[in-house]
Amino acid sequence: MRILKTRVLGIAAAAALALGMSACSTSDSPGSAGGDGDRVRIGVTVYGQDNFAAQGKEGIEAYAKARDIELLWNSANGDVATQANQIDQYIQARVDGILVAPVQFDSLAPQLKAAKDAGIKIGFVNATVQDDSSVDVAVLPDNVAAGRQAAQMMMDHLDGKGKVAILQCLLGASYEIQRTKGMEEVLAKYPDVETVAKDGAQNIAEAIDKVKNWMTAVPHIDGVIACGDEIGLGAVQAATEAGKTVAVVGVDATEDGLNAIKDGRFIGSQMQHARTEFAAGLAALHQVVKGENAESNYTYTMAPVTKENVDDFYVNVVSGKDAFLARIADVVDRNLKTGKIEDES
Amino acid sequence: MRTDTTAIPSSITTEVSKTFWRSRGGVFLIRNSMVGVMLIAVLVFTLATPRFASPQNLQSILIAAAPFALIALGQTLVILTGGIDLSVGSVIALSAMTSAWFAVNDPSKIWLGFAIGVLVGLAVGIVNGLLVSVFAIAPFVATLSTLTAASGLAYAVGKGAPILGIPAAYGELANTRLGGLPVPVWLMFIGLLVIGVLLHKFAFGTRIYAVGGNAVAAEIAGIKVSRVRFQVYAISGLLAGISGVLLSSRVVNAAPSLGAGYELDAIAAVVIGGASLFGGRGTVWGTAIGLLLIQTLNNGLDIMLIPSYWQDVIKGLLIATAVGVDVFAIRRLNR
Repeated sequence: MRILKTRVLGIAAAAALALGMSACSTSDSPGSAGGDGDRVRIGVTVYGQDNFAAQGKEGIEAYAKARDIELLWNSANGDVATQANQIDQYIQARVDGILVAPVQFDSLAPQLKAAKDAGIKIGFVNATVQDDSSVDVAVLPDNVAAGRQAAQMMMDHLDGKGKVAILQCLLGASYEIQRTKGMEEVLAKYPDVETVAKDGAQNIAEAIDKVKNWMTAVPHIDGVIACGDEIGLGAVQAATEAGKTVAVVGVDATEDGLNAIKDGRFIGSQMQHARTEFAAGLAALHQVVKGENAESNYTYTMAPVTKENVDDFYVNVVSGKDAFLARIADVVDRNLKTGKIEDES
Repeated sequence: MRTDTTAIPSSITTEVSKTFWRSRGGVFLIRNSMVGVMLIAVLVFTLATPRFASPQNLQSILIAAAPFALIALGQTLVILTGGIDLSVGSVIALSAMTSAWFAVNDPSKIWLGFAIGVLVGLAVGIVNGLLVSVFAIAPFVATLSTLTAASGLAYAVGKGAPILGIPAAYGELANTRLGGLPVPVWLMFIGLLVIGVLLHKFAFGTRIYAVGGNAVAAEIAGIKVSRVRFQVYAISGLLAGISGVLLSSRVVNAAPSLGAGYELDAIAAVVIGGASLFGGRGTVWGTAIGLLLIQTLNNGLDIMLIPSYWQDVIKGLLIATAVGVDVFAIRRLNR
């Protein structure tokens, strides 16, 4: 009886797993293995499904359309093994290139080697992996610099003195580690600044409770330096609920973050526009596939966004995003030449 | 409680301790051991920081507890029948996403969005109920499948992304205060009261205990077991729907990842509260204590600025202790 139960459970779990996997690979899976001769085919696997990845997809699709690239798209739903499977699928489908926004830093080495052995070019965007020996080209944000910049914004706002808290993203994620490192580098230079609290929050609901409890622990916190805009907005909400005010800076400059800068809830954020960054990743890999000269590493430098310049960014990210997507291919191709990947003029 | 020493033969001391644990005081201590743990936690936090024991901080704890309370109540009913509802975290996400989606599409009818969000939760609960009662699928598997499907649907509603541009008025529901306390806290109190009365004062509750205690005997006694099972899953879904709507309103944000993993905290609260995962044993009072204990720890450890990874370790130890005490108590009472 018990054995039967376990077995049924096992089968059910396996079935659920298979369902989950096929569910996330249905959309644009290979299928047309032959393809037509000279059209470049590129398989993309991104770490998951969030707003950032959704914007990245828009940028990539716009670029692929403009440059006539056949695109295969898959999301790994935050799972390393799923991402590895997706790369295997792309190898089977004999794509020309694979673009990866990885789930995790120390992953994918065997799959990437297999892809390289099959003569497939490999590009990385948004983050890299530990063993990058198989990687042909990468477009990566400078997260340490973004962390430094966020902390510097706060120091300028507080005139280099006061009590601050660091609100980290998902603890242990590589971008979190890098951004926190940048923040602490800057804070170390200010002896009159005390870091009164430091911990991670995975989403806005967690961030609200966390920061609110900090505000109970330390009655007066001058500023919260947040690793991302979403959790930064959690800090704002926490202050509202506690009947206090606190200066908040974020990173990523999402739509909600830009709105918060506009109406003064944020003092600033760091611009990481996924549409531009991901499209640049595809463009760079496309160049490598076509055998054109390309650098092996491009850096996306996040621009500081404050009340003064927020409107310029708002146009491309929110109000005029369709117009921006229409010209994104030209923008990105130019940026690969100049090396200023973040330039959206 | 080690009482054996070299001076007294161990057989006598075991006899003494046995009598103690079976005495009225002993039973009371075992039954309410978590209240004791709770008091110790409160005492430690109060001594550690003077800011812990303040009315404002009590409010913080209650506000944080509210979304968990509703799903923990549903979970209590389900666990009492010997089942489990793994889907509630996903239901929170799905309800939040549909509710916000409607609010964004027609900002003049935000209340309609809220209502639809709640109904979506009820709908998933009904599906769970049907799977378990009509199709006789094991609750773990049935709700595992709806956990997966509801999460997928939550992503589908936002096409893989959070809902953006939610009107500020969407936040009014959960951020309005009545008599000093925000709406979700009141709903938590009402939920505790209603479910507590239903469970402990009405035939409905007796039937749930009967089904969980011994389904075959309940059936023979004339209780429609499958109907009772259907009802508890439907109620659990409904409460998760309300929880999802409240949570998204409080944060004025709807992401497909909202509520992920909440089912585990809810189950933990029920277990810490002394319920048996095999059904038939547990109370709303116990769940309330379990829930308050988890939230008090979250809050107090935050105030002591202890990193979240150590907080998780402490919570894990607490769950193991709670179940350990439970096993100990059952042995003592049955001997």
